[in-house]
Amino acid sequence: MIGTNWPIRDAFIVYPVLTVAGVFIGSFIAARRKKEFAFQPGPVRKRFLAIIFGFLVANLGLLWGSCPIRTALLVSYGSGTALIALASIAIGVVLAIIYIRFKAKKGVPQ
Amino acid sequence: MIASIATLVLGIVIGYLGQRSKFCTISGIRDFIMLKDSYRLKGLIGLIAGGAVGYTFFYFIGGEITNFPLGFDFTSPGILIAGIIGSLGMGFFSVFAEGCPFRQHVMAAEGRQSALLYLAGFYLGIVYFNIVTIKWLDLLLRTTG
Repeated sequence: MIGTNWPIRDAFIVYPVLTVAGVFIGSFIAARRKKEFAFQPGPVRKRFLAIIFGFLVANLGLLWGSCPIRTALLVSYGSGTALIALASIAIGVVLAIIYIRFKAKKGVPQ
Repeated sequence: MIASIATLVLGIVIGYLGQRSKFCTISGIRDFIMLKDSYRLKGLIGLIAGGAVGYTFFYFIGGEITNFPLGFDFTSPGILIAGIIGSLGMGFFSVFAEGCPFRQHVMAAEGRQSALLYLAGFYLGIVYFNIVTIKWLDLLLRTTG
């Protein structure tokens, strides 16, 4: 109607998508402005585990093909498959909560 | 070039708002189930609602929006099972990592060391997937049909 189309993929053949870099810069600006920037450990206590979690989430996320945000956006695009994936993410979260509660009952620190 | 700069500017806006709101998809579900706190879950609901409104509006003004609404678009049962296992595992391990990949980027920009290490593992994981995992997955899907 008003010349609307999504020539997104064509536009990024030569030049890269810089959203991730932008998110990092934007968050850094916000943290500095509100004096919340500070080098500190955490939220994961064991450093090696943080690397492992990142590695696993990347592999499992690519197995599905999306991060949780893109999954949610695919749900709004009307994707039934993404709805199943979003439900699976929620079930994964519930299973993790059950595991944390089980460990907490046994008195094992997280 | 303009599209590239536009993504950078949009990324900065999203990152700024993400830091201020503490938006996280995984923590939204976790907080709601564990603590009955719906603050972050509203972000996830808002994301879906905003996307749906945006796509529908774009569709009705005659925009070129491919296969909208998408429906069930998986090509084989094997791919669906892989997707379910992947998303289930992603949800599970993201709780222990204290957030979704977006939140990890925000926390890394706040100076959280474990988030920086998470991102190191995350980007290493992407490389590993494209070199190793995808070959195994392809082989598995071919043998199982």
